[in-house]
Amino acid sequence: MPHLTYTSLLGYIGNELPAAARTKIEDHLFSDSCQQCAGKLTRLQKVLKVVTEDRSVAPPASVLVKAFDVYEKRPILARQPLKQVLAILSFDSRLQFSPMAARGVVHTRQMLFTADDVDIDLQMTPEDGDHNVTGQVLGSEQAHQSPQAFVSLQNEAGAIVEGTQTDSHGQFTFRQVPPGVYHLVFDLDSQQVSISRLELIND
Amino acid sequence: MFHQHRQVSLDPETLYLDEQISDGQHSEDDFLALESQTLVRAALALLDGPCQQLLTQLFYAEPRPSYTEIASMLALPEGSIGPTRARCLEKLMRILEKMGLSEM
Repeated sequence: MPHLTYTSLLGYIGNELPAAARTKIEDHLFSDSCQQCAGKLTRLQKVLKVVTEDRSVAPPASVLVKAFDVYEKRPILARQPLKQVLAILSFDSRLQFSPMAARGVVHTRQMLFTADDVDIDLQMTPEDGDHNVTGQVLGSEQAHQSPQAFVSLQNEAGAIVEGTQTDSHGQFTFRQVPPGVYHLVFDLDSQQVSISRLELIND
Repeated sequence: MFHQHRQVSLDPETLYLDEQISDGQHSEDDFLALESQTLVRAALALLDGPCQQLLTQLFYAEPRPSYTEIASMLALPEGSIGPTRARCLEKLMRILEKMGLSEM
């Protein structure tokens, strides 16, 4: 028997064939074990199942327009590479002559660092051989609120010794930091600002 | 582009697409079914006009028209719809085979 056509298989599936024709097809499929026609039958059954179960409809044009609009306005979740900025020292109280400091009345050292978009004010106060480091991250005048940052105090090798989040005023504190050389790294939203080689020394 | 019948909220304040689409769970079978449906519809689009119109009316029109209505719509004798349907399906199957139906 020649191979079966999709048309004859369709008649077989739909039970539209005379008994004799049906028997011939079954003989070919099952007694002759024709793999080629069995494959055709399976494929035809699959397609008929797909079209029978497919109840999807084309959306109205207005919905499509809206969907494209929503897609185009979707937030870009992938973060841009973090810009790394080295803050530059713009003021150091130790480099200024101060009669009060000379008399030993004031022990706090004040420093101001400047980066692209932020200034960082630092105050280091010795206490029992260690140092309390407090500071404030200051944004540009246009910014309506203080920049939020995660501040990490790193040792000379770059290992994090301590970390803290700035408060609503951009302030942060590290207490009882042993003398040594440290790096302060500020993770802001768009950039990472570093203060390199901050020396905490006892006089 | 097609979508399944389901409730879709189109709140202009919501920017996330996945918040606008029903949060029903989708299984891998759902996606495979959608892929098969897309393949068959793509094959249908490659059929000649009369076959495309006939199979669309037979399989996709909502509500399903009767043979009499289809015959009237497509200007065909009602008795020829069955054989024409078989011929058109034969063409559709051949297109699908070329498109990789065996992987469906």
